[in-house]
Amino acid sequence: MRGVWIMALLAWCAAAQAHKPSDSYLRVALQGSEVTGRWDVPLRDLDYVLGLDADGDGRLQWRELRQRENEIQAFMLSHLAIEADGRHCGVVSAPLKIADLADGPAASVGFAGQCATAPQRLTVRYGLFFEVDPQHRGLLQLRFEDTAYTGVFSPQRRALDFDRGVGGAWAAFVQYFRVGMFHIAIGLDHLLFLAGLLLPAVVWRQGGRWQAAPSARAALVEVVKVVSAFTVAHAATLSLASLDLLRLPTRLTESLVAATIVFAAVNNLVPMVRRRLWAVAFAFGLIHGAGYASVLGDLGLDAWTLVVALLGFNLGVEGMQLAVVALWVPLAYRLRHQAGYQWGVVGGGSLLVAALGTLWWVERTFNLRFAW
Amino acid sequence: MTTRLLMAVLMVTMLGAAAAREPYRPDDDEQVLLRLNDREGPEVSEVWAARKAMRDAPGELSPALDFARRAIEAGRQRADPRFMSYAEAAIAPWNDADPPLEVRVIRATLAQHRHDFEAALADLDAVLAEAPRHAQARLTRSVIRRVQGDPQAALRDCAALVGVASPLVASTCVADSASLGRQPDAALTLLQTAIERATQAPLAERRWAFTVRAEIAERLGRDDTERCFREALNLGRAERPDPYLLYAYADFLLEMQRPAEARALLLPHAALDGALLRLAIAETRLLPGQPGLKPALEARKKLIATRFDMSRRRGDTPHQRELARYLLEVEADPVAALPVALNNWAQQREPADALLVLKAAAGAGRNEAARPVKDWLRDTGVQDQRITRHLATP
Repeated sequence: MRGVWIMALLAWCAAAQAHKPSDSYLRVALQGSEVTGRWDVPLRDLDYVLGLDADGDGRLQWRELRQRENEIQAFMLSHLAIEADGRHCGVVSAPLKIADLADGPAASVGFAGQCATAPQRLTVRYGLFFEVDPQHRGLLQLRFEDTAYTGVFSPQRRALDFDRGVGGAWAAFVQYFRVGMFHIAIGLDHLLFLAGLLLPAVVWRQGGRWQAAPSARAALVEVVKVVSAFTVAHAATLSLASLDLLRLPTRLTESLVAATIVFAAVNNLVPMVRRRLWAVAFAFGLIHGAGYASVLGDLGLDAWTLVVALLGFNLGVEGMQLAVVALWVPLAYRLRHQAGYQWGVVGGGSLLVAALGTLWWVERTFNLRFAW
Repeated sequence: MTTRLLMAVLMVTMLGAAAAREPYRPDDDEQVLLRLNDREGPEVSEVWAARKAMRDAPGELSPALDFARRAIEAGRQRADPRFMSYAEAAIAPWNDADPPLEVRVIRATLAQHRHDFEAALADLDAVLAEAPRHAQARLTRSVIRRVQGDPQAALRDCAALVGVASPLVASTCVADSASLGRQPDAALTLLQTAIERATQAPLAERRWAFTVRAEIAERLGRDDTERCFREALNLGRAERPDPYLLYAYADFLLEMQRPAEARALLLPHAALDGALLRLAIAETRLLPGQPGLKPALEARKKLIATRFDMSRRRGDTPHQRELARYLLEVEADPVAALPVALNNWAQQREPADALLVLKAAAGAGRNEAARPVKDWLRDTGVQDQRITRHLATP
């Protein structure tokens, strides 16, 4: 008569568990070609494989871990590979730390590295513990550019691929739309030039006296035309420069940008161009765009995402400009007959813009730097 | 700049979900990070010895089987699924279409543990076709068939154990299955006699027999049910009772409207998932009279939700019986509980599963959804006081 093992018999179920099955938590973030991450692996599992309790007293002490830190990290990282378009991304790990997970303490290894390219496809390969613990799972949380993905590694799925898909492009669009808006909001160059164009929107110098706009609507349309012409031109040269089809010396474009600011401001006080102001804005937009190529140039984006990002960026710029216009024009329209507005805001403002523009022009053209 | 900031915020949020606090580097060499309780206790030190023997003889079946069996036992005793997985890894080299018999038996046991009953039955059928007197395979198959709601088929397997397994094992198996038939009292008498005769039987066998006796007594509504549960518990170590038995007794107390005692029983074992769920049920019922329990209950509910969530993240399906009970008895949401209870019923059909469907259907006002359960009760003739009581309440 053979013995039977009873303990395994009672209909025990997953809910009879004091512990959960073994999981590790892997977080990876990829931005451009730069990869960073953190990997938490339960100490219990590392001990099962590596026998970390050196003195066998049933207590795993920090000393026992620290002394084998390199071995532990090498063991972990030899079971993980990150590939950008099929090419291995080398990573360097930070010193070992301890993370307290819901299921007990874990060895936490931070890592960072560089991939050869900003990939179209990211592959993560994972093979930890599967030989001794087939129910082990690697739970991946990935940020690929601005999109979040999750994945589960198992003995049957040791590699996961992530494509920079439509989601990635949309995320890029949203991201750069925002960048475009902030570019206006915090870019002094841009704000000043915009101010130069906007100040005379509702009241301008004509024949040596102030001329107020007859209708708010006409004034608004005129301003929108100017601003949009500027954006279109700005977008054109920015795109060409970002795609590396146009390359101008930065010093030249930057001093030209300053010169346009001076021109716009002086034009408010001593009118040189009044009709077809949009054409002037367009020409100036071309110059500004070329000067901003560096905003997007070195992000390591692939061509398609770059195009989407550019579109987002330019629409962000335009959106923010229109928002400023929408706030400014109705307010200015109400004040356009007041001398304080005419001389103080338009006159004084234009003088200030002209002065700042001149300062920049000198700095940039002669490569000087004023202490201010 | 803003993108980086946003990413940092997102990363921190993600980390926060899994980690209680940021990773740190201890500055005290002597700091104890983990108590390897697994190495305490004789049965588990045997597991480690068996692992060493297995590693020393790679490719040899017999040490691998020995390790797998011990790992499964330890996994059950410790309620630690990692050991089940270690057992699975040990037999992996022989894990193909036509493995050795003993590998099949272990594979079936592990499949049963995962509630993959079909895979388990396929292996057990193959083993018993080749070796009809294989006691372990018989016993395991009878348990699965009983859990699947086919006590007649279970009984046939148990009958085949007579003369093959020890008298107590065979009797317990027969009584357990027969008690779900039309003569549960006779089954209880049989088991009682077998227990009285087998005073020298191994502890594990006695504990199983005592547990089954208590369960039959409960279904029959016997006055000595509680004494049976207590006697079964007394056979184990008080600090580490058999989880299955612990839950069965707690469920009995809950059923008897004694949530305070159920809570007291379970409190020392709150780390067990099954105890956690039942503590939440007990506290939900105690809450109206003891508002002070609210924070504890909220914490448990949060922990249960976390565990269900972690299980889902792994790609596992949360255990349907537990999920249905949680929805029904803690969240008081019978409408949500009913489909889960029915889903569970499709997998396993013990009286407790039947009761769950009946309660959820009644609570949701959809008694017609419990039709398959009522058919099963009629066809098997199962008698269960809990079910009778439920059906009697208007």
